[in-house]
Amino acid sequence: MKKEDVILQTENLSVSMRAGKERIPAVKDVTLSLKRKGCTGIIGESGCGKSLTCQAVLGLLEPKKWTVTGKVFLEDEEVPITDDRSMDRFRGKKLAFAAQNPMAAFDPRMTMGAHFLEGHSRREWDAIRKDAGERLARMGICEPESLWNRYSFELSGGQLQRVLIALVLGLHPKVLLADEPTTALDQATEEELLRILEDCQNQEGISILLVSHDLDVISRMADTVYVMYAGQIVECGEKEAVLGNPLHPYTGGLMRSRPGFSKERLKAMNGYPPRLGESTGSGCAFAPRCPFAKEVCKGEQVLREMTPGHFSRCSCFRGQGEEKHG
Amino acid sequence: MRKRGRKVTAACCAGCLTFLAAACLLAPVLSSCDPNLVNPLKKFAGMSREHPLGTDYLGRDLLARLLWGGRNTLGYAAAVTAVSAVIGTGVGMISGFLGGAADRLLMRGSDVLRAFPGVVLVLIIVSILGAGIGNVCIALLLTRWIWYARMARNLTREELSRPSILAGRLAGSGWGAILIHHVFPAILPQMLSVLSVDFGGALLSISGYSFLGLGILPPEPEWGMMISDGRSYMDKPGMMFWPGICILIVVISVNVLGDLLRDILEEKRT
Amino acid sequence: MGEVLLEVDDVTRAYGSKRRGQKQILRGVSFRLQEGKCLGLVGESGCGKSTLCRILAGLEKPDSGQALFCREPVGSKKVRGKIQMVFQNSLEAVNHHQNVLQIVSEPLKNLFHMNREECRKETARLLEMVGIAPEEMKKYPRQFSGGQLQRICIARALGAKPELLLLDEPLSSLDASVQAQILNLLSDLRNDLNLTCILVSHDIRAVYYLSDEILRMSEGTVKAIPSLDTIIRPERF
Repeated sequence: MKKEDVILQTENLSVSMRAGKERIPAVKDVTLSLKRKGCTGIIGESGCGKSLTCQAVLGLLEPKKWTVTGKVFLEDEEVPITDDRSMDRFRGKKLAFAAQNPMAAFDPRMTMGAHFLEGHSRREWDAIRKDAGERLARMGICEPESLWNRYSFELSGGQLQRVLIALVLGLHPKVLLADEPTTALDQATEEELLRILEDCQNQEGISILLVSHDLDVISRMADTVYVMYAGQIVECGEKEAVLGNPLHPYTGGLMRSRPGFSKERLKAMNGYPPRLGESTGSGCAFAPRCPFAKEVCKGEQVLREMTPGHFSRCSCFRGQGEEKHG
Repeated sequence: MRKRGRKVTAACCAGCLTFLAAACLLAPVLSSCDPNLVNPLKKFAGMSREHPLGTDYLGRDLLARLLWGGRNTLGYAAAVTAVSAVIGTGVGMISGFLGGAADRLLMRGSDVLRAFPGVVLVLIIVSILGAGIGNVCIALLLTRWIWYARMARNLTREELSRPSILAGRLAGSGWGAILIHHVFPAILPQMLSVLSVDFGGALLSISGYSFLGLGILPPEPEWGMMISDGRSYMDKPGMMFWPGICILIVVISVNVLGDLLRDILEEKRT
Repeated sequence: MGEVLLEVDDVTRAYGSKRRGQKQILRGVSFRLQEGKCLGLVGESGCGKSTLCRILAGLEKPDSGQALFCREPVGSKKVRGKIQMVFQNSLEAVNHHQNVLQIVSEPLKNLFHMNREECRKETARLLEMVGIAPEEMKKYPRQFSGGQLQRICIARALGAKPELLLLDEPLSSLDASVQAQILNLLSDLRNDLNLTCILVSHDIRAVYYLSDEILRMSEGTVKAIPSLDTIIRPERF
């Protein structure tokens, strides 16, 4: 990946939770990059640190509770993720955030219109109204004018998520961080929301960092995929490579355990993912659940380039070929 | 750091309370004097081996009166708190469970009581029933249980909508079992935190009405009444000081403990 | 086979008081469910799926219409225990002051009047059935993960020997890799016990995996999905 193509880059981003004097690591050395006008997907289960990574990039983690180290670069500028005040320059204007629960993102005492106009001078109001109206209409919200005077509790989850995205895109950010944007939605609404995100990417040139536990969403949207497990990136690379030929048994297991449209018995993984902060020892965190675990897995695993551009943190699994025999 | 400080505070408060309660319970052992024995020859005696805290205006031993008075004050306050908490929690839980007309009646009743100043209400009841600690306790019970009922009712309503309760209903548990096994353990910590703060209030009321001469009748000792006795002899501060400091310690301790309990609960919730 | 177990006729339900304006959640839901079948209900959150579940479980009364289970209205004495439900969030669906033994033996005590020893044996059997080691029955809910607790909730529901199992979003609070385990478990249990189920979910793949027929719920009514091809989207990879 050429350096100038990258719009957002994190370097050794680590997050640990403060519990008294102890520091419980939750995200360990995450280095990821997002291409200009591209979409990078982070996939993982609850407690794997994917949402924390997202919030750390935005500097949203309370310093009282969390310790964040590492660097984040937006284009060539370093993002001051640990300085709350200077982050105001980035949040919203350059880095937009769409949260998992859109209901919580709105003030229930304010109308939708007030949310759009908040923080703008009266002179700009007409332009914003027009701009937002057009955007909402494009997003398939019929009669954006009637929406103007309604409150968040009067709208459905799907509508709210769309309004939220329209709202954050109104500030013309460069990067949209979407943390599980479709989790609360049903299939049809999810489809529509993903189409909207695709439009943002193609028409407005916004780069998207998409966090999800849903393989379908990631496989549809992302060009680059990072798979996280127990706070670490266990596999990353181009979507076709990672999802087409997973080199980490966790990715493979995740893909196979997903119900397709068939009645065939699911190939479920054993065991349960470690909870946030649960110690996984120095070896491979996935080893206790891994059907291919060997003695080497007890040692520390590093992220290695298996094929060009395709990294995996597993030293014994070599893709589907081995799986069939073993 | 903050947690440790809190632990120390909690330990201090609990220690003070236990110390005072134990001392009062052991009154016959700790002091050989009869708290009601009048000895005009020894009035306003200073501290001595015989009378560690001195004597009052009738020559009665202050330590003995303090300890025996503590039995009355703490005992009646605890009894009022316990009985009103039990009645109130029971009624509140049932009312919250039943809903409908009974529930509305209870809530309107507590609204009326809230609009009415509690002191006036107690004074009215005592003026009807006559002075005496028993009647003061009855009056306090009548005005206090409703707060527990209201609290328990609101918490019960909140609990009842939880899936765990729905699952219990599906598992065939009757409403009694649901209230006892599912609702009660869930609301108990909150009720305890209210109870500990309320105990301070009850103690102040008992002392207060005794101070006014409506509660415990002389010559029985009681902290509030001891302060009232000392009021006429301002130049001899010992008579007011010792019961006053006891009341202060108890009320502050229970309030701090109640607050800590509530804080811990809130932290657990989030 | 083929006997109708559940008949739902024009059930409506509204929330809120008449004075302050009501919100109609269910506007006439009707369907039939045959014995041994599994019905899938899909729809957006807030479309009334959970309300319908609670009505079918007899935990709420419909405003109008009726739901009959073996020709008896749900919620009546005769139906007691025969309809069980598994809730969305397993962490909220259990009493945190009880251990697993107490949780699972609650229906056993109430419905079958088992004594302590019988309860222990039956609980061990049920836990084994759902893939939890019986030795863990003395543990408390906080010591388990969401997936394990959901298994325990399923064990509790099965303890009542239900004829109809309502699954209200049993997967949505679980992780992807655990979802598959629970789906497999449910499918095994359905085969072994010939359970009739209603699976409510927004995940249409999961519903497809488990169900014999699928209804789509939107704005308080249900519509049969005529052909699954209309909702399946092409595989991407």
